Amino acid sequence: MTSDDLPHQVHTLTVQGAASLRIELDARCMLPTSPPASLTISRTRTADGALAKFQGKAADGGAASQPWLPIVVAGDTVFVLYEPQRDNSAGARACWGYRLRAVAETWRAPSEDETLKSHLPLGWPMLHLLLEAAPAALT
Amino acid sequence: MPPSSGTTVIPGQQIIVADPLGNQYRTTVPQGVLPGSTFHVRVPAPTPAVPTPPPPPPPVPPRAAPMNAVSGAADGDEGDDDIGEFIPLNPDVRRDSVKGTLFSDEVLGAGAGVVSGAGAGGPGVVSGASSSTGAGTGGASGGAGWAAAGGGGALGAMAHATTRQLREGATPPGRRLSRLEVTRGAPLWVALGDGQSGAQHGALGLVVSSVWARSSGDPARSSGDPDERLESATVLVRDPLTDELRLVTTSEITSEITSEIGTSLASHAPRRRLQLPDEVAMRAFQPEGALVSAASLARLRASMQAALGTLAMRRAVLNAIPLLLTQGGAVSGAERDAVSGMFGSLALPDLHQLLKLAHAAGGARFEALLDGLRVLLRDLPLGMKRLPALLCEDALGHIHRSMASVAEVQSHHPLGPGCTSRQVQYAPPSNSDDL
Repeated sequence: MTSDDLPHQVHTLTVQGAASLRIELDARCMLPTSPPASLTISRTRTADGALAKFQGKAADGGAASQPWLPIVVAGDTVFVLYEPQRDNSAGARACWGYRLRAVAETWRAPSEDETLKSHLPLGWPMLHLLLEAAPAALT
Repeated sequence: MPPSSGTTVIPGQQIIVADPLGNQYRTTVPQGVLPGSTFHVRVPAPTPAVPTPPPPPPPVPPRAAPMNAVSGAADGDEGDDDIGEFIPLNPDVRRDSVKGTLFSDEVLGAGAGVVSGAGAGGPGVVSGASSSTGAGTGGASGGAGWAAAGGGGALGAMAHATTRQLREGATPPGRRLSRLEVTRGAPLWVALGDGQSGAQHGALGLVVSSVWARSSGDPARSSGDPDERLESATVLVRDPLTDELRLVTTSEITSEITSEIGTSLASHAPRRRLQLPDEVAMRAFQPEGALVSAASLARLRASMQAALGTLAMRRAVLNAIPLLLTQGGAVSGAERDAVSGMFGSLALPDLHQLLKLAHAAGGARFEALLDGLRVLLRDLPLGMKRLPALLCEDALGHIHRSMASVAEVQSHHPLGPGCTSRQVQYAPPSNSDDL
């Protein structure tokens, strides 16, 4: 089955300014393998640029496809292709619940000016350091 | 270093270099120079328009290996015994006619300067860059060596780019400089005007001191003050026309020259403009279209050199901050004095800005910097009592930004308890784009 065989949905996930994205699937997603339904993370709007494909459910590791662990992809934009299953007997399309979240794993190198205007990108490590060395600052 | 023809230059091969004025010189790549290595090319100073006192000795650049001279071009030997290995081709040739090839060869020299600066790292220990770029002034400003090392090599290329723009009548755009950009030793591009002829020429300088003011007239407090602006700056300048070192105090607000040492400028010089060199280079790289010409590629190379210069600056900061933080550690007295000289007058927000630059430099050294910061936080010196609160506020700001930088997509069928395996029917539009 290819993405052209069935109508599918294409979602765009963009985080402006990100150099890489961390893609996480909700653990409650379920994408049955028979008949197949899948989520493909792609660089393009088609499966030609596929980076990862998710099928099954989180508990079984996704069968032959990627286990449902977060993946990190380069760039600030990915496309999510949902290929729904086909119910041959009824000829109807069915879909299953799914949810993905993209967060910025790393940020694009800003210019000197942008660097100075933005926050020091060490939020949690800096809080940890303050907790160690100057806990009074956190109270 | 590949020339514009795309082949690699090897030792023994002749190349053409040019100084910021466009004078061209043929020289030979010394034996033993590897790709990416540094070698210096000394060129004769242009004949000054007026008699000038001899300039201070340059910061001892290593001499290039003896090179084969090219016959038939002896104009460049005049008046300088140090020049033996260079033969100017034709100083009168307008650079624009061959700008692609020559510009890229000039960047070759500038690039070596940048790499040299980045590698040396520590403050005050980096020698000046290629003497053909005029960046040798860095060594003459004492503790300013780190700044000159950071941008020095790239500045030469930028200097040429801007020189050419000034020749073509382009007006440098104005931009308000921040206090951090005008720290002591920072490289600045200074447009020097000739009050009598109205002509302008540029020079690269290193900041010696600066005066800041607020729009309201009150004294500026720190770099975080949005109303502050640079009132005047004293810059050590090497004039590309006369090869003269001089201190020039120039103002962004008034056209008056408050003081200067060396050959006098015209008393009614037009208003001067201070400008960051990297902005000059970036403007030179403003695309006019596709990269179709050698000149465009040369501008691209200049832009890359500017980026390297920025990187070197950040590396220098990365090396300097731990010295600043470890006030009584295993730092030699000379190093500590050099750093104190550079950062002694910094306000707390400025230190915060420097931390950002250091982090942007990346690398394992930042871990050491955090260790130094940890020590500092445990025993805060006077004047830094607000540092923990400042870092905490910044960290929370970053976390907040990270939390807001999330993209999510969800199916029409929402997830929820008991719904994970429920099959639902819907008729989605084909090839829809929800977000």
